[in-house]
Amino acid sequence: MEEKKVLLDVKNLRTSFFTDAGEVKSVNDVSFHVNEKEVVAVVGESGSGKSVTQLSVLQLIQSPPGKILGGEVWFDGENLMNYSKKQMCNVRGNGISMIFQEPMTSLNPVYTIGNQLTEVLRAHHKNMTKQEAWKRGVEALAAVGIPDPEARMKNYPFEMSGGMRQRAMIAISVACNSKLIVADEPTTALDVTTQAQVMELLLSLVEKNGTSIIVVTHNLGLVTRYADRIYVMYAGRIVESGTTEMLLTNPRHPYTLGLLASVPKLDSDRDEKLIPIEGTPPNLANIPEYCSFYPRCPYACEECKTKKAPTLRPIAEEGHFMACHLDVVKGGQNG
Amino acid sequence: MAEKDILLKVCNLKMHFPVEKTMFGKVTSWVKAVDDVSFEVERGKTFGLVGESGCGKTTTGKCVLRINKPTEGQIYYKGKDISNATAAELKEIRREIQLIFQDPYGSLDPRQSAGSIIREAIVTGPHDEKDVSGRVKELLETVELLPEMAERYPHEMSGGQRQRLGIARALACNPELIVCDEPVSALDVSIQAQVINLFSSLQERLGLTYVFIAHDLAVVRHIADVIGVMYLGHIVEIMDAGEIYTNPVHPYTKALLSAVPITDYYVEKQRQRILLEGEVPSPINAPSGCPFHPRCAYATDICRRENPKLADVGGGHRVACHLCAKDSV
Repeated sequence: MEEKKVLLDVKNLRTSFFTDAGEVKSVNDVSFHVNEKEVVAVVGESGSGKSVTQLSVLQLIQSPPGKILGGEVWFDGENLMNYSKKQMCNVRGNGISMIFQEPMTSLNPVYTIGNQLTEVLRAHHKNMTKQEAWKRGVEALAAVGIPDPEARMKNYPFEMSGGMRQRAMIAISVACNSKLIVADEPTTALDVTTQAQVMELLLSLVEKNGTSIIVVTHNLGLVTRYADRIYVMYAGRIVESGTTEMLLTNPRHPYTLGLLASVPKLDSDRDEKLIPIEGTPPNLANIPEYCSFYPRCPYACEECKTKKAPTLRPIAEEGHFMACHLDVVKGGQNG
Repeated sequence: MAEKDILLKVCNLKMHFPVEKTMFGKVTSWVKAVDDVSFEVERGKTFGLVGESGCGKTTTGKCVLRINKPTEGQIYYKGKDISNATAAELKEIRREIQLIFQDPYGSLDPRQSAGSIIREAIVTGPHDEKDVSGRVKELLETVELLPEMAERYPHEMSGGQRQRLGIARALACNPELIVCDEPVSALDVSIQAQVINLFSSLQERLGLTYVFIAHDLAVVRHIADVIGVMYLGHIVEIMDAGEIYTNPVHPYTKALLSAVPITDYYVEKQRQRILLEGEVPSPINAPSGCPFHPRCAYATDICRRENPKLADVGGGHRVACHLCAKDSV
């Protein structure tokens, strides 16, 4: 296998929110990396900390109540944690840009698309003229497949459909030439057919511009089709990671197994009952010392409650990691 | 084959909303949200309606409940046309036809406790005055909630619990037909399966009939017996749920299917994808002829001129497509 260059390397990131209910450990010792020209998926349910992880990388956590407690974020050879506010502003947009779930709320409703595109461009390129920025904006809109980009530049967000708005958001990232695009549930608000269009567009950026993409999602299907590698998050921790093929054909952590068994499949036997994961996700303000999946885990045993929360450990195949004391697939206990 | 027991029959349902009026109140343009939709639902079975947002699936559901009065067409519930029922008649009918909403938070009164929400639904119908609390407890048990939950307020409950509460409320007046409008799409994946299983087990136990509206093909395929695929106010294909994956016929159904990613890695890598160009046209200026022709890769002249009718392609599988019908005949 060819050696890949690491673009983003996050080490032991910890972010907490200090609320009246106590410390909410949203991101609890999370490490992950993204290679160049790679699509990485972060999968988890709501409240698993997957979005907060990405916001922490960009240092967009509102403080108070949030605080990044520790960890390193190496991007392109530099530790972003040592950056000043001003330097971070340069990284956001130029280096890493973010696409949010709801394109209507992340675009300003009272400015035209063109206005918002040129604003971003001129904020990052101080000596760019308005005309130049406008031209770049039109190019960017054309690049994301919006028909009649000249006219669309003068449109307000409400004049566009959901898919178009999401494309416009992507256009802003394209215009900045970001090396990494963090897409936080980019297609959740969209219809399936539009979802496919938007994902194909993101993927084309990887090939054309050599961008890397982090897709944050709860949709396992989306991940199967588009991601190279997957991180599964549960209660602020990464519980399993590996290539898409490994995780989907040979899932090892009980949570991943549960997730896969609980989604209705298009090609499965219809009479087969879904096997849900019992219970509800834990309250992050009150996570136990032991494995946070313990209360819902069908394989849980005494050991899981007495031992400290498991950390990621390598298993059989190279590049496949999981955090579980047991190895429920293999049946053996070698934790 | 035994005579089918049809609980609900919708015939040529049309629901048009006026959007623009002249100074004198003459309507100049309409949104044809539902345009000529017909389907039947057998007692004890589930009819699934799928489609993208704006295709009219929710409006169809609302017409069945007579929340909207249809512009044209008939809705037969137990053989009786309810499309022109009076308010008094509707009060009776709505006890038998209930609705479950997508957003369990928005559809529950935040200032009412769970018990009181269910109680309210019980006391509006015929009930045993002495045993209301017992019935509340029983309903909570039916939807697998703990009896203590009766004291809780919606904001103290998780999404899954709220949706269960919504189901308990719908069951309070012993309905026969429940219209479920995207009941699981707001839930997390691991919780979604719990609620889907609850729907199936309730159907088995209480003999309920569902009209299940959703955009997630995999969910609908799992829960429904018959599926209707909607596009721009029309049903373009109706088939047994088992056939949707193995034998989709309409080009739109095929495209929709291929857009839904599946979690089987090797199958997914080999699947052919059909990317639809463009977007769903506005129902205000619906295209002439077949509603799907501007995005259809196979469109011909006849598609642009005439709107195809649903035609049988074998085994009760009906498709509205000029080309598919011709092939099979």
